[in-house]
Amino acid sequence: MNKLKKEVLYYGLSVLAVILVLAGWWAAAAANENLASPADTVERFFRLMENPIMGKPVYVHVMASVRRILVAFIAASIVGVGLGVCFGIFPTFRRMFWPVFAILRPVPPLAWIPIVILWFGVVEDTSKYIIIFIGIVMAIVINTYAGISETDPLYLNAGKALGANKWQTLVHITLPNSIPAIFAGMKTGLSTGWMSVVAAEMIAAKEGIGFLINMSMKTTPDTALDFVGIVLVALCSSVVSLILTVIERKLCPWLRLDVK
Amino acid sequence: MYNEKKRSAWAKLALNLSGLVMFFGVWELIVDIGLISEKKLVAPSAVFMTFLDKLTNVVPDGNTIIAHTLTSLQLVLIGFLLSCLIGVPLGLLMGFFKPAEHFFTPIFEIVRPIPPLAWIPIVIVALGIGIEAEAFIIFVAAFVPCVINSYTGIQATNKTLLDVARTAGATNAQLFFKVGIPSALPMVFTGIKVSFGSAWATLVAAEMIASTVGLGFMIQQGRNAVRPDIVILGMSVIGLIGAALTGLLSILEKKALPWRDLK
Repeated sequence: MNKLKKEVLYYGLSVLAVILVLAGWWAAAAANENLASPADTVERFFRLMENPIMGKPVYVHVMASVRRILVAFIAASIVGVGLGVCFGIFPTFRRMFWPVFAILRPVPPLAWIPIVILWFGVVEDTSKYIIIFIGIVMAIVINTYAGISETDPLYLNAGKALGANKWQTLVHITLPNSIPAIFAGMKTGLSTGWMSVVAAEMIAAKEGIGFLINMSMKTTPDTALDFVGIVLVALCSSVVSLILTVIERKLCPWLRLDVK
Repeated sequence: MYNEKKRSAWAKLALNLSGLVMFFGVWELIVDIGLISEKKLVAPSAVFMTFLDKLTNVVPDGNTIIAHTLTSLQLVLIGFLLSCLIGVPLGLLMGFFKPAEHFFTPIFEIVRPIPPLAWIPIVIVALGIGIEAEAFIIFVAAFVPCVINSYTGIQATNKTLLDVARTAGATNAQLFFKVGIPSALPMVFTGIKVSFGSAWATLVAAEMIASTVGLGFMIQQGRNAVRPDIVILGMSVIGLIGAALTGLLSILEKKALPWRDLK
C-alpha cells in the first residue's frame, strides 16, 4: 500500500468511528424512549437558550462552574506548589509532615463532601470551593515535590560551583526545572477538579453545570439536558487545559527545542 | 543540596511520629476543650469508639461497617476488573496497530473528558438503579488510565527489538505478543494502579445512585443524621482500604516484573 492510500484509509477509519458512535447513540435512543438522541440534545440546547433554568441562561451556569473551579484552582496552585516546595527543600519538614500528608492523601476528594458540608453548610459556596480545592491540591503537591526532588544534580552542582545560595538555587534552577512536572500535576488536578465541581453542584447548588446535570434527573428524566451538561463540561475542561498548555509553553521555551 | 543531613534511625522515626502526634493531638485537643462543636467534628478517640460500635451496630444507616465495606469492595472490584479486561487490550491494540489507533482514538477522545458523575442520569435511564449502573460509573472512571498507559507503554517499544524480531521472521502477531506486550508491561501495571485509584475514588459517586448499603452511602447517611463520627469513620476506612489495596498492587507488580527496578 502506498502512503497516500494509507492516509486516506486511516482518515476514513476515524470518520467511520465517529459515525458509528453517533449511530449507536441514535439506536440506543430509539430503543429507549427515555434516552435522548443527538438531535434531541441539540434541540434541548437551543431550548435552554430560550427558556433559562432557574431564571438563568446557560452561560450563567457555565460561568458559575468556571468561576468555582478557577478560584479553587488558584488557591490549590498556591498552596500545592508551596507545600510541594517545602517538602522538597526542607528535609526536616518532610520528615515531620509527609506522614500526615500520606494518611490524608488516600481519602478520595468526593469522600470529603459530607464532612465539608457538615462544617460549612450546604447553601454557601464555601463548601464547594473547599471540595474542589481538595480535588485539585493533592496532585499539585505530589508533582511539585517529585519535580523538585528529581532535579538533575548536574545543574545543582553547577549552581553551587557558581556560588548560588539556597534561595537562588530554588528560583533559578529547581523551580524552573520543575515547571513541567508542576503543570502535569495541575492538569491531573484539574480533571479531578471538574469531577468535584460536578459532584459539589449536584449535591446542592442553584446554578452551575453540575446543577443542570442534577436537574436532568428530576421527576421525568431529561437526559437531553444531561447530554448538554456533558458537552459543556467536556468543552470547558478542554479549553482550560489548552490554556494551561499555552502558558506552560510560554514559561518553558526550552522545552520546545525537543519538539520536531 | 536538599538531601537530609545524617540522622540516626531513631531520630528519623521520632520526626516521622512527631508530625502524626501533632496532627492527632491538635485534633483531639480542639474537640476535647470544645473549640469545635461535636456536631461538626469528633475526636479521633471517639471515631475509634464508633468503629468498635459499628462492628455490630446497624444504626443509623441500616448495616454494620463490615457489610458496608464488603459491598463497596465488591462494587469497585467489578468495575475495576472490567475496565482492566477491556481497557488494557484496547490500549495495547491502539498503540501497536495503526488502523486500530485511527479507529479507536476518536471514540476514546469523545468519552475521555466526561466526568464519571455526569454519566449517572444516563446510566439510570439505560441500566436502572441496580449494581450494574453503579459498576458502570466505576468502570468509566477506571477505564481511561488503563487505556492511556497501555497505549503509551506499547508505543514506546524499542524499535531495535522490533527490527531484530522482524529480521528473524516474526509475524505481526508474534511481534505484538512476544515483543510489544512484554515491553509494555511496566506501563500497563502503572495504568492498572492508577486505574484502581480512580475506581476507588469514584466509589462515593457511584453510591450516590439510590444505594442502600456501602461506605459511600454510609457517609452520606452520617451527614444526614449529623453524625460526624460516622462520616470520619467512613472516610478513614475508605482511605485505609484504598492505601492497602494500592500497596498490594505494588507488591504484585514487583513479583510480576522482577526486571523493572534493574537499571
